[in-house]
Amino acid sequence: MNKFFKAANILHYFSFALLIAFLSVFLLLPIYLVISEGLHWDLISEIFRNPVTREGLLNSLKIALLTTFLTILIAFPFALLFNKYDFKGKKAVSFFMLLPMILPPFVGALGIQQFLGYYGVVNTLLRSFGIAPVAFFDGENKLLAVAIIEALHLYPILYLNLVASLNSIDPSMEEASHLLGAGKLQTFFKVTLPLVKNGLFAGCSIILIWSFTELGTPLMFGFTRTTPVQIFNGMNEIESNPLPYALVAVMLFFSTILYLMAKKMLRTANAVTGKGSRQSGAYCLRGFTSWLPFTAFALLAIISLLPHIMLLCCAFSQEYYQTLLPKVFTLIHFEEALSNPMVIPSIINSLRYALLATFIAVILGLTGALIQHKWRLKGGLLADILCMLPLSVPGIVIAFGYIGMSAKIDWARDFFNPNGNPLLLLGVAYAIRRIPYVIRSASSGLQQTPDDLEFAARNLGASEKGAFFRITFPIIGAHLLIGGLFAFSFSMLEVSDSLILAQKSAFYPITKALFELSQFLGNGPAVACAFGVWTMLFLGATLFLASTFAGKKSTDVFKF
Amino acid sequence: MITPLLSLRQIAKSYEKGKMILRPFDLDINENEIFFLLGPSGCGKSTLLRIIAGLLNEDSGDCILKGKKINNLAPEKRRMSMVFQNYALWPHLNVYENIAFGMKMAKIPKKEIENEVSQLLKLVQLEGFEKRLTTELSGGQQQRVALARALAVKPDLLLLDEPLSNLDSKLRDTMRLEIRRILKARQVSAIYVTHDRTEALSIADRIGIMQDGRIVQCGTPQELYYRPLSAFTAEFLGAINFFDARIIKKENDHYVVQNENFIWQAAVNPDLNFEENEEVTIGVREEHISFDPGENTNTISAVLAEKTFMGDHTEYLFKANGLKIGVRSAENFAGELNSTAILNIDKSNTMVLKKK
Repeated sequence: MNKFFKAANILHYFSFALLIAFLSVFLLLPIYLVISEGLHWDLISEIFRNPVTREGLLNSLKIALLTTFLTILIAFPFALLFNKYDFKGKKAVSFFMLLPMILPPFVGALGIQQFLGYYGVVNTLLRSFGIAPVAFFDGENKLLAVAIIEALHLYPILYLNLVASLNSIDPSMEEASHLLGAGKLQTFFKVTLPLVKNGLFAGCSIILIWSFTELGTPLMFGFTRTTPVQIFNGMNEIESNPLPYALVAVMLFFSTILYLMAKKMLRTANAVTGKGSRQSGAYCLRGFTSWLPFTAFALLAIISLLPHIMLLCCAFSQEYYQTLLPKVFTLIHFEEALSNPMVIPSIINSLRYALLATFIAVILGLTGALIQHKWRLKGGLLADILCMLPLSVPGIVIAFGYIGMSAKIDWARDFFNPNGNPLLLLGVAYAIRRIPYVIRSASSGLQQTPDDLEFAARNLGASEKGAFFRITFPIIGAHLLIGGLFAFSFSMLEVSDSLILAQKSAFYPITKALFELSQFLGNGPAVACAFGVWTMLFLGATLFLASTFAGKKSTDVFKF
Repeated sequence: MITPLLSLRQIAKSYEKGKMILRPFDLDINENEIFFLLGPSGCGKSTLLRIIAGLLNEDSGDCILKGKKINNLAPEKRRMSMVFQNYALWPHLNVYENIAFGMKMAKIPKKEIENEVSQLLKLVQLEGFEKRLTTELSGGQQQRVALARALAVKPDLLLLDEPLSNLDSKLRDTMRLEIRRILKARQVSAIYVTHDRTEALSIADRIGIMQDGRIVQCGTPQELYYRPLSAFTAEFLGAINFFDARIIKKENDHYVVQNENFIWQAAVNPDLNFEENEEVTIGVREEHISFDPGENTNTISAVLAEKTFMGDHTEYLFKANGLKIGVRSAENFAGELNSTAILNIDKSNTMVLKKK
């Protein structure tokens, strides 16, 4: 090995060491702290003995399962429709399907309360027909409402995974089944479904963990009997009551179980996924029928955007009470939102946090991908596992771990203290949760870039660094940009970390400011709605950019 | 008169308006026949195969199987099975399950399925591979599983879509013989699509040459090779020299043809008729040119321009007054470059074709 290669190798291992060190401090240590503080038999048994915490855990599990079931019900038929047919407006529906993600579900909850609330649109309609109003958000209905709101927000993740899996099935696999006597249903269950298991499990596991640990939506519905809300509420007495640590540990345990189960299923599924050689097996619809799928997609978009539409109505209405539409339209809430001391700073704060998080996530994600797929260092798999770990670790666990570190570890007290300016703290917290998206995106780019391209450049006199920056980097640049854009969008929408780690109003990010505004009596919710509209437009534009750049690559971001 | 197994009547197909992939033509396939659709890429042969299988709808024309029109019959009801170019083996099922799939669909008793799979595995020489995942098999083994799977349902007609194109050349040579052996052992009627003439000539009972969406000539490999009806067919089936010439006269078993370089005698093809003074194309296969003088041969004097040793034969390029003449021979021409040779062609191997 010549000197140059030795030096390059040292640099690679140094980057590897830095990555591991970073993830150890900001990911593994908070997890360790939560486990070490919470994993005591008396605390754990207290959770299962205490009917309140037991019910919270059960409700969270119910929400997760119901949300996942609902997303399958929504995403599967539409993914099949997209894959099996060529229809008018097919390109546009890719953007439609990302639209529900432009707002965190907890903000959508504000809108849906207007729609399904006791004096909301639906009950007004029922009353006008002489039917008694329905309390959609009472008792068990509250759980259903949370699950529906989350499903309407999360189905794009499963949809993208399923479309990617369906696209990777060679149409001749299904044709062979037909020719051997299997009908459409038999072919679906015996050939298509087993071949899309990969995408199904990948999407479902993300949604399962996401909805299991979701804090914002149940909080907004006042659904306190869920574990994340119980953890959030228990934070104030953390010094005296260690039960929240145990709750977090239990939540982490369940998430890990869900993650490992999905991983195990994925290993089987990974082994069976074929690579299509004849891609287009889509049936071309003509005439009137060619508009039917588009109509179905548009209807789904309208239904899933109902919370957003209601949010718009609330934001523009002077009075919206027991009527189908607002009685008087106004811009006053937008003015009030602008003049509110929390709003403008929160936008600036969110931009700063999200930009820092994106920068960190891109650097770490790219390093992780390079270690695994380009430098192929010994132990590269460890880097990949660590970078993907945040998918199974709820944001609330990491945020809670940081709080714990500021309270329990002397050297970490200042950095992890949420009472100061949380720029670095939130930047890191957001970034940690977004690394999986970036590393998947970057890895996919690197895997599609043969080594020979760089070798050819080296062969023509380029240095190793030169070949990387002139050849590989521009090729994987699009993938990085997509990963970065998604990381940025989701950082702007981050709820758990924001609600827990931003303690002073001057440093609130958008989501925390929205939550606080919605809790104000009087016009608080309306101002929050107006603010939500701005956020929606801003994030809609970002996601539009991401999906435009990404095209088919957007599915790489959500790979498990 | 024997009813053909499959009759295609005026089948036509276009993907875009005005761009015909298949132009109307008729074709009959007989029982127990291995029929090849041979043609260059894009000539419509795979489209035709998919229409026969029911995977594509024809725009017009009829597809008749055993005397019954099957145009509107779903693929699963046509009693045809297919070996796909990429095999389309299901990666989530093992070898046994792949082969047994069609029989399970037909609700055949388990015991019978086991026997049939076992026989098929023996036939394709894959005994003991039942439990393997198809992803663990080599290309040749996958190809055999695909064939066994298609044969398992005892189809009325087996369709093969370039099944050897993903194999390396050595394996292709072996599998060519294997496929013919297996198909004949099971007495299967088959339509086989390929652009590889060696495959077609070595396996087929009959070949249909396709050009621009229609079949331009049908016949046994020998008929097509020795008596092509067009320069296209002649050229597609093997290396050949073409010369422009004019018919001087027709005698009992031969034509006399002439151009500025030669006056030759050429064989009469009963399917083609030419008039005196008609401009024609003369075709001479490269391996039919010899350096040894013989009886009743046409000759031409030419200068050696290139010589390429190919192992089992040598390829020569000669030039004669602006004509280029390719020769492929196992004999060694002792002369150096630019030396003159007399090239000899048996008149029975001198073909008269319509002018290109």
